Formats: sequence, C-alpha cells, structure tokens
Amino acid sequence: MLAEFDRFLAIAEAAQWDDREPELQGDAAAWQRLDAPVRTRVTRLVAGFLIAEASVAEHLGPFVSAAKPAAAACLRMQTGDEERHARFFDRVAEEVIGVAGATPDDRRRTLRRLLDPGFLRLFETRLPDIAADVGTSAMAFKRGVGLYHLTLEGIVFSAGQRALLEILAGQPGLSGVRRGVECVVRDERWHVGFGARILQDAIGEEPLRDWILAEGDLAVAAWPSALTPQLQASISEHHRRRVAVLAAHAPATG
Amino acid sequence: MPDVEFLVVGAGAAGWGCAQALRHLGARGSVLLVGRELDAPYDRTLCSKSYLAGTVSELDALLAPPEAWADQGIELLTATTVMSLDPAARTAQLSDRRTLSFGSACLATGANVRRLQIDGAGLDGIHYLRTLRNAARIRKDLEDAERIVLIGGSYIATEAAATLTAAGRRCAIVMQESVTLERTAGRRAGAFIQQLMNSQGIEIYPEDEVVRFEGVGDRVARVETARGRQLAADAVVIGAGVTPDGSLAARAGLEFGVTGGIRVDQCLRTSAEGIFAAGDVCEYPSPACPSEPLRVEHWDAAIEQGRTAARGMVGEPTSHEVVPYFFSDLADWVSLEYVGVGGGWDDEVLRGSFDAGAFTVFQLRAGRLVGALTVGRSQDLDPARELVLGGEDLSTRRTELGDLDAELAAVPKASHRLSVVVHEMPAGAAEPLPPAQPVALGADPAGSPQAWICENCGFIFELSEGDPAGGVPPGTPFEAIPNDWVCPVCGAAKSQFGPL
Repeated sequence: MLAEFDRFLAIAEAAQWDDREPELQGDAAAWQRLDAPVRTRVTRLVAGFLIAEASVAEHLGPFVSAAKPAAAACLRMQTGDEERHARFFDRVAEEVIGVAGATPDDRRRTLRRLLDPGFLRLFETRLPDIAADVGTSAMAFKRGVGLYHLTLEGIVFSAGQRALLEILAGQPGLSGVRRGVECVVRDERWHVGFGARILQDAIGEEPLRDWILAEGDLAVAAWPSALTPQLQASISEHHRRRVAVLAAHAPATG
Repeated sequence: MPDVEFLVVGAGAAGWGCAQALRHLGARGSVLLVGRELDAPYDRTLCSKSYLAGTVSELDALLAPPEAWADQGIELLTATTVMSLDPAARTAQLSDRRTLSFGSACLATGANVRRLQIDGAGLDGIHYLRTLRNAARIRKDLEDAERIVLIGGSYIATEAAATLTAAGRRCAIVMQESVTLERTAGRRAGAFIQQLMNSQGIEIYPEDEVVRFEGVGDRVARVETARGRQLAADAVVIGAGVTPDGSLAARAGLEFGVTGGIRVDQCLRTSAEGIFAAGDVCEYPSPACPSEPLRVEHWDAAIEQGRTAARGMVGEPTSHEVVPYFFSDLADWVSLEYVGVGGGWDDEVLRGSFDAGAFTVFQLRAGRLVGALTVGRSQDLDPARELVLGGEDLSTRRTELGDLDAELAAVPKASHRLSVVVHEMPAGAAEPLPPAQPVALGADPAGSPQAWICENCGFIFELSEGDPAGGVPPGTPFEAIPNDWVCPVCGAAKSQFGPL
C-alpha cells in the first residue's frame, strides 16, 4: 500500500535541493511587467507559504519526539525540508516581490495581513494546539499527523502550490520561482505519503477517519482569497479519494 | 552624458517603488533617489498603527535595510530638497547647491498635511500624523496623557484612535462625517466600524468640527466644537487630510489637473518630455474611471504608480491600469480592504453580513462598479478589480453580487484574466477522471509488473486492487490506465510511477 519508512528517506535524499539555487534576478524584472491582479494573486499565495512553512517547520519538533525511531528519522529529514521551503519563499518575497523588511520576520509581518482569518487560525492556533498534544497519546499523535500531513500539507499546501503553478505556467518570466515551487511540490509529496504511511493502519477507525475528513473540509475553505471555488472542489475531491484509498487498505477493525 | 541617468524626486512610497523598479527592470546608468524626507524610505502605513503602538522599531519600518541601497546601485539622498527643475535643459538644482543634469526624472513629491488655522492651533500637545517622526513624537508626548481627542473621521484619525485606545488611552473623535470612514466606506459600513469603535470605548462626535483649542499655559487642555462641546484633552491628534505637493512641478512649468495634482497621461508622463509623476501628487487618466481623472493618496497605489513610471523611464511606456487598493487595520479589532476609484457612488450592494463581521460592500455608480470595501472577504477583491476595470453595467446583476453562493464572474476582458493550466495534479471534481479502459478480471498482463510505486510519495499501486475511487477497476494493467490518472495519495502524474 505505502512504502516502508526507509523508502521515504531514500526519496527525500534524492529530492534534496538548495533554496539558493533558483535564479530569481530575471523573475524580479519580469515581476515589474505583470498585471496587477496577477501580482496580487501571487503575493497572496507567497504570503500564505511564508507564514505556513515557517509554522510547520516550527511545530514539527513535538512530532519527532513522539514518533518511533524509523518515523522520527523521516520527520527530522522533513524538518530540513520545511525550513528550506520557508527560506525559498522568503527569497521570493524579498527578491521578486520586493516585500519590505530587513528580516524574514519583518516580511512575514508585512504579508500576514493579506491572509484570511481561517488560514491564520490553522497555522497560528490549530497546528500549535495539536502539536502540543501529540506526545500525550497514540491517538493524539495520529490526529496530529492527520492534521499536519493530510490536511495542511495534503490540502492547503497542495492547493496553494497548484494555484501558484497554474499562474506561473502563464508567466515564462518567472521561471526561477516556478523551478523552486516545483521542488517544493516534490518535497511535499513525500511528506504526504509519509503521513499516509503512519496513518494507514489506523485510518480504518471511523472516528479518526471522520475527524480527518472534517478537518479537511475546514482546511479546504480556509484560503478563499487565494483559491478559486473550482480548485477548492478539486482538492476536496482528491482528499476524499485519498482517505478512501487508505481506508480501503486499512486492516479491519472491531 | 548626464550626471544622473534616472532622477527620482521624493523618498516616499512612489519614489521607492520607482527606484526599485528601475533596478529590477535592468535600468542602465545611475539612479539617484533624492527627497526632503529626513529618513530613508519607510512603511508609512505603520505610522498610525504598530509604529505608533511601539511594537515596531524604526529599523523594522524601513523599506530596505541601510546597506541595501548601495547593494542595488541606488544613491539615496535624504534631507535634500530639489529646489528647481529645468525640463528643457534637464537639470535639477538641489538644496546642497549642486546642479545635476539628468536623463529622465520621476516626480514623487507626495503631499503635505492640511493644518488647521484656528485659535490655539499652536499649543503644545497638538499633533499631526504623517511621518514616522510625527508618530515617535506623539508616542513620547502621550506617555503621561490619558485623554486624547482626535480630529477627523477618516483613516488616520480612526486608526490612531484604535491604536491609542488599545494602548490604554481614552480617545474621542470629533469629525464632520456622519459616521466614521463615510467618504470611502459609505454609511452602512462606516456605521459598522463606528459601532465597533464605540464598543471599544471610543467616544465619537459626528457632524461636528473643532473651532478652538484652549490651553493651560502653553499646553492644550480642551477642545471646543462648533456644536458647543467642550472636550477635555491631554493631547490632540489631527488627521485633516493632505494636499498634493506640486510646488516643484509648478515652478518647472508643468501642467496641473482638476484635482490639484500634476497632470500626466496614461503612462504617467507629465507635460514635459522625459519627466514622469507618481504618487499622491499625480493626476492620471485610468480605465478604471473613464469619466474623470484620478488622484489617489494611498500607499499601494503610490508604489504601483512608481513602478509604472519606471517602465516609462527605461523606454517601456506602459498604460497604468491598476485599480487602486488600500487597507486599514484598527488595532487588532478589524481589518478592512478596499479596491476602487473612491467616492461618487449612488448604489450599494451588500454581500455577506454586518452581523457576522464578514461582508463586502459593492459601490456602483450608474450601474458600474466603482469600489468594493470588504471586511473578512478578501476573496471578493480580485473579481471586484476586474469588474471595476471591465466597466460592465451591473444593474441587472445586483442579486448575483449580493449572493454569497454566486461566483463573482469577472467581465470578459482577456488582458485581465489568468490563464489556467493544470499541472500534473489531481483532476477536479468538475472534470471527473475519464473511465479506465475495461479489462477483464483475471486477464494476464503478460510480463507487466504487478505493482508500481509512486516515486514521489511511496504509494504502491497493485494491479489486483486497482484504484476504484480513481476510476481504475481491479486488474487493470498499469499501462492501460489513462495518462491523466494521478496518484491517489500525492497527486503526482502517472509518469512518476515506476515498477516495484
């Protein structure tokens, strides 16, 4: 159904990239030529990733502590990915969009106001609350993974990346940003698969499955200023398909 | 060869946007940003918010760290006034007695605060709020103050009142308007804001105006209004608007428009060749408002205009078709955003609910959308931009505008639409996956691997199980799966799978 943990480490190793590598100088020039609505949409999406990637990087620690050794090794690898993503999106904000501020914190503060309240609640309240509890019980850990990997990464990040790539596909001048986002997408895919691997034996339990679906519904609606209704519907459909596939392969319970 | 290839006059948002854009656009030659401002360009929107509250430092407020200017090849000259400009000779005389020749210039001289000319206006404790230094002075002066009176019902006064109230001061607002923010938000949304401010303890005196300040010694102690109110005040903060600073342009003989701003064409070119204007001082024709020229006094609009001017300066003149945008935060109580051309609407449509605290007010003039103000519904802004630019008569679409379940369809104006390209991700619900080619159960896919793994996420596709939820019946050979099928776990394309 899903690979063993060492396979995820191999995937992650193969996918490593340097956030300083995408060349953004040409993108900065192209940015000035974009229509304002395009700039606004991209800025909102980058704002979201700036806040979200910093948050997920910050709150992964309790998961590492609570996980068994094989999974913990993957989570440590994932922490490096999330930090790299935060650095990359900060580069985009500073070098391409021209967001003011001397530090990443300054730029996050500047861009934070572009985000929807529901989005901010997810990353500034919901995730910290859930992360703080993951060490308290096996179910709390599974719920934490459900929120972190299937909901935040599998829905919010995935939808945002898709929206961003759809825009970038029509903007050849932003090839550096696109290259970086594609690398981020590749990283996030193994994160989602890894989360699914942790949950695959437990997701047959109806309460956990229902909880993950309900969290997914909330997450789908959390970023309306950046995601079109069509994209929300599409990503919601995929989330349900993913949970259905996992549940179909879960061991029978009861 | 001129002394300076690109001269930008004014170190505010428009000047900063212009200088930055020049470098991003690959401008060849020297860039000089010169302004009478005492500080390097900073985020002026913080003056009435977090900088006034003391939660953001001066350094944090800067738009670029000090070392960035040299790194970008921009010479920054603050506390220096351009005294005169000779458009024909393309020379500028600076207050440091230098005369510089230039290739092209952008005038971004901004605006000056409107000062009250009434009795007692010179007393200590009376402040105007325009610059970072104003805000610092107010913060220091108010350390021991308890009762603050704010003059004005627009953004500066309301934001400052919110900030100071959140910091523990007692605030009162005296304003000519019927409700706060009436001129841009309208009566209904303005009343929502006013009610919120009232609930936080701010006293508001509408349809009134200050006529006199009275002091004890040299310091203000009381505000007297036209309606005869006597309001005790330990300090006063005035937000009475601004007037464009066109003095340099006037001395240079440039043409002015009906709003008092420097008249420019759609590419922000002034009446003098090689000289552009941007920001508060610029009056421009906009497709967003065909009936009259615009002069906008908002931060984001100034930056965007600076960018457009820069394109003209590097030989890529571009029509400025940006719909103005601004935001306002009242402490952490509420954030509102606006797109549009401001003022002059004769009809409103509400989308959402004031009670729920999430709404957009669409402002229409003769059926055409001229503005949209939102609290908690940022997603309405992009469609609103397109509707403003499209100029469609929305008289027959009022119901749709107000219906939360109706998508705000943008006007069919190709240049403002986004292209949508699906990028190897899950197929949408609206476009279900095409059914897989039927394969008889038990068919022998001679030589085909029985399991495939997604190299992106580790999902293992087993032929015996298929992916029924994705339209792939059990037993389907992997090669027979349609190419637009994607991994059910991570959304990667079929091509990302390899045999296990």
